[in-house]
Amino acid sequence: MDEVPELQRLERGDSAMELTWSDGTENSVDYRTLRYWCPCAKCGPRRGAQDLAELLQAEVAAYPQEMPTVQTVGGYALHFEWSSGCSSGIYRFERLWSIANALDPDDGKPYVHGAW
Amino acid sequence: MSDSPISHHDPSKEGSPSSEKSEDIESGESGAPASADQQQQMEQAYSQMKRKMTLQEMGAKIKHKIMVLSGKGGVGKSTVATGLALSLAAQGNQVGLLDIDITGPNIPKMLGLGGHRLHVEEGRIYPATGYSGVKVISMAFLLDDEDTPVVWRGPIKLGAIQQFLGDVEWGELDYLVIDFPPGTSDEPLTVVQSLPDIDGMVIVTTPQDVALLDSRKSIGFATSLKVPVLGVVENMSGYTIRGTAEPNAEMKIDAPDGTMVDVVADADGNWSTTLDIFKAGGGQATAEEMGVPFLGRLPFDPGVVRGGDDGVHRIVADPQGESAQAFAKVVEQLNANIAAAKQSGGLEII
Ligand SMILES: Nc1ncnc2c1ncn2[C@@H]1O[C@H](COP(=O)(O)OP(=O)(O)OP(=O)(O)O)[C@@H](O)[C@H]1O
Ligand SMILES: [Mg+2]
Repeated sequence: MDEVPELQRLERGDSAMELTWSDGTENSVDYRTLRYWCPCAKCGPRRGAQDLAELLQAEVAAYPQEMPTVQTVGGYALHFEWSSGCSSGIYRFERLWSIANALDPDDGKPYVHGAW
Repeated sequence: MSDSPISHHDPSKEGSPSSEKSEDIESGESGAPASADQQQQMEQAYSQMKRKMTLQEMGAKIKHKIMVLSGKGGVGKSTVATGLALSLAAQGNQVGLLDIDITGPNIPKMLGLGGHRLHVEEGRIYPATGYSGVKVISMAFLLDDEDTPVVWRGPIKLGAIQQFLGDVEWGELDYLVIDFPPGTSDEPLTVVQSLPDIDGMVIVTTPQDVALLDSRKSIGFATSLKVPVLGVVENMSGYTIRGTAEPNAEMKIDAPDGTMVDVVADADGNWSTTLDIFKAGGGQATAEEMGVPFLGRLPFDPGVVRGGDDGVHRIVADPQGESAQAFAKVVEQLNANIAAAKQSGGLEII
C-alpha cells in the first residue's frame, strides 16, 4: 500500500466521526461502516462469505446509536470501545484510511488470519 | 463479546475439528477433502486465532504495558522491573508483573513468592499475588526446581511466551510491567508482535561504559520494533554513605573517582552523601545522545541485594529509604513520558 497520510484529528459525532488527515483530506466515517469493517478475528471471517456478510451488516445496522470511546494503540492503530456488539478490533491507521476513502480495507481478499 | 450466531466460526468451541469446520474451510478452493495434515494446521490456526482474540481483549483491559530491557545482563532489570511494579502499586494502581526470563527467572524470589506453583483453572492461568497486591506471573512457577535453568529451544520458548501472554487471567490492570532476559533477543519481538498497544520500553543500564554501549543497542532495537523508548534508568549509580559528626561540621571525603567531595553535617550532626562508584551520568548522556528521555538514577544500595535474597524488595523493607524515593521519582518521570507517548503522532481525539 502507498504511504497513507497521518491522521491528525478525529471528532466523534452521534452517528459518525469526522477525520482530518495530514494531506488535508477530510472525511466522515459512519459508525456502522466502521463497525462492519471490524478487523477482529471474529468479524473478519464473516465478510468472506456473502450470506454471513449480509448477516453482519444486518447486525451492525441493528446496534443502538452510540458514540464510542477511542484509544490509540501503540502509535499504529485505534481501538473503539462500544457498549454493544464487538469491541475487539484494532484498526490500523491504513485501515481507517481505506474505510474513510471507501476503499476495500480487506483489499478484496478474504480474511487471512494474522494479516491485520 | 458479541454472540455470533455462526457457531462454526466460534474459536471458543475449539477442540477436535468437527466436520462442520473442515467443510467450511475446504469449500474455498479445490473442494478436495482436507488431509490430516491440513486438519492439524486448521486446528492450530483456530487456537492461534482464539489466542489472538484473547490478547486483543487483554490488551484493552490493561491500561499500560511497559517492557523492561537491557543490553547487558545483571544490570538490575529484574530489580528495576520489580521496583517499578511495587512503586506503581504503592501509588494505588493495580499492577501486574510478568517475568519472561525463562532461563533465569528470579522475580518470584525478589517478592517472596519462591516455590509458588501455577494456579490453572479451566485453561486460564491465575497470577500469584505479591506485596501491595502486585500480580505476578513467572516462568519460575513452571519449574520443578528453581535453581535448574530451563534450556528451551527458540521456537518452543517463544510459543510458551505467547501462551503465557494469552492465557493469563490478569483482570483489569493499570500497569503491566514485563521483565525480559538480557539482550536484544527474540523475546521482546514476540511480545511486541503478540500484545497490542505496548506503551514502550524502559532501558536499564549501569554507569559503566560497556553497559552504556549495550543500552545504545537496545535503543536501536526499540526503534526497529517501533516501540517508544519511555526512558533510560541508570541503576547502581552512586553509593550513599552516612555518618555523624560535630553539628554543622565541614568535611572532605575522598571519593572513589579521585575527587574530593565536600560534606556538611546538619545541626544534629548527621550527614550523608552519594558517591559515584563509576563515572556517573553516563545513562543521562547516552539518553541525550540517542534522543530518548532519561528517567533517573537509582543508587547502589546493599539493601537491594539483601532484599533480593530474602524475598523482601528494598522498597517494601524501607519505603522511605533512598532507593524507594529514587524509584518514586523514576515512576513519576515514567508516567509523564507515558502520557506524552500516548499523545504522540499529534492525533487529536475529540
Ligand atoms: N541498585 C542496586 N543496588 C545494589 N544491588 C543491586 C541494585 N540493583 C540490582 N542489584 C543486584 O544486582 C544483581 C543483579 O540484579 P538483577 O537480577 O535485577 O539484574 P538483571 O539485569 O535482571 O539480571 P539478568 O540479566 O540476569 O536478568 C542482584 O543481586 C541485585 O540484587
Ligand atoms: Mg533478570
